[in-house]
Amino acid sequence: MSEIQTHKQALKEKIDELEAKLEILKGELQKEEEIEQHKAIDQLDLYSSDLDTSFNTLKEFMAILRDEFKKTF
Amino acid sequence: MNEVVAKNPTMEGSSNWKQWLGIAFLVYLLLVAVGMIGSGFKLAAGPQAKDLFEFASNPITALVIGVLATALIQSSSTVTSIIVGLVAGGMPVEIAIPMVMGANIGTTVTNTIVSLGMMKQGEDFRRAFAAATIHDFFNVLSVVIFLPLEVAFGFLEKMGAYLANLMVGGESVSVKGFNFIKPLVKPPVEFLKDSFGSIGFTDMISGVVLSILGITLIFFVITAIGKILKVVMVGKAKDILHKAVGRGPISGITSGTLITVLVQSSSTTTSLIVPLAGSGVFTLRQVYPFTLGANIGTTITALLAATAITGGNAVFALQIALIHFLYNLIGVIFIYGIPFLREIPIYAAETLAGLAQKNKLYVAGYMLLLFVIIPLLLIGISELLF
Repeated sequence: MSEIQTHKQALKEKIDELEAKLEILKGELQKEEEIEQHKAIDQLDLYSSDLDTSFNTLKEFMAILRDEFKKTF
Repeated sequence: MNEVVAKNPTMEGSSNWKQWLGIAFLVYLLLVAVGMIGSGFKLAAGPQAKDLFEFASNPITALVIGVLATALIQSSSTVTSIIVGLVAGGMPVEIAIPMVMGANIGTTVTNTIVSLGMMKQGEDFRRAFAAATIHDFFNVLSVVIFLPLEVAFGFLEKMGAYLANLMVGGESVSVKGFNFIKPLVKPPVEFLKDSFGSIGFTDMISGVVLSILGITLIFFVITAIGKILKVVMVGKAKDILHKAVGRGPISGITSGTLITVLVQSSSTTTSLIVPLAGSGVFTLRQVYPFTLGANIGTTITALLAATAITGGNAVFALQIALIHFLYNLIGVIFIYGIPFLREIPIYAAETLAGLAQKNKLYVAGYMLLLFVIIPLLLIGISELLF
């Protein structure tokens, strides 16, 4: 085997190794994200009470809109 | 009080039992209300029902009526149930189809308002607003694709008619004569009709009063069902969401559908996901399929409403309910199934959310454009075309 071939082979092995590590890291990240998502779902009750505040939200939005309108024009 | 209930399983069970009984009664009232609209409209309009809706024979006008009615009431279930009742009373199905499509767009206003609750939170608001408006863009795209196809070929009308005829046996909605809804719904509607008659109301006045009462009743019943189910079903919704985590888009669509069926409200489902996306825990691509499931799940209310209709027009009431279901199902399969089309709502929602984060005037401009300027322009242009 020529020197170039050996070098290429070594590079390929390194890439494979890195890709395998990357997959492991991706899997770990996904697990972390999923744990975070499960925690957020458990707090769904907190969010559902926010859904009834549309009138207050609109009032607040109108105030911000007025300010931004004055700033822009 | 809630703490006591939470600590005592017997009391919790009894409370649940009462809530379920309440829901069953409200569903019954919903069916009666739809029956009232159908009978009332038929009584008031008689054979002129078609002429009464002449103003909406232009599909764009009908679409805009659906958009605005739903945006004002903030409930597509209410509007589609009323449409089912009106079809039962003689409104032509071809007029009802664009209205049902418009209801899909109108219902998106609710989760957009919910996302405004995070408007002071910078990046969180950008994500929340994108999660809310992806539903808008999907539904608008769906109308842009399917309304012209429907006007040209009537494919939804034909599919709905075929399925409705398969399911309707004889003169009333019944699967092989097994309709237990009819004897339950008919007596109160007939009683009201007779009562109005005995007071001295003419058929026309009785019909109008019956229809108005039916529409009012639907509005209150669906609001009440939504409120109770939101409390009763939040645990179940959590279970479904937990199961969908990390399982891909099909699971997302299915869980969105199931939760919407359980809470009987697509806007509740799509609004629940807004803060989850806003916090950054779920990405826009992850909440997208869930939102689409809400479109499919919400069709259950109109299907349920259609079972209340009796008589010759029952088949048309079922037809429009099935069209609502088919339109949403086909829309999800077609748009989400084609990668190029799937990306359009994502790109549009992300772009708009980026602009909205910088200046809230874009939010106001967008809402004015979607719910006021574009509808008015479309009506103007279509009046020239049709």
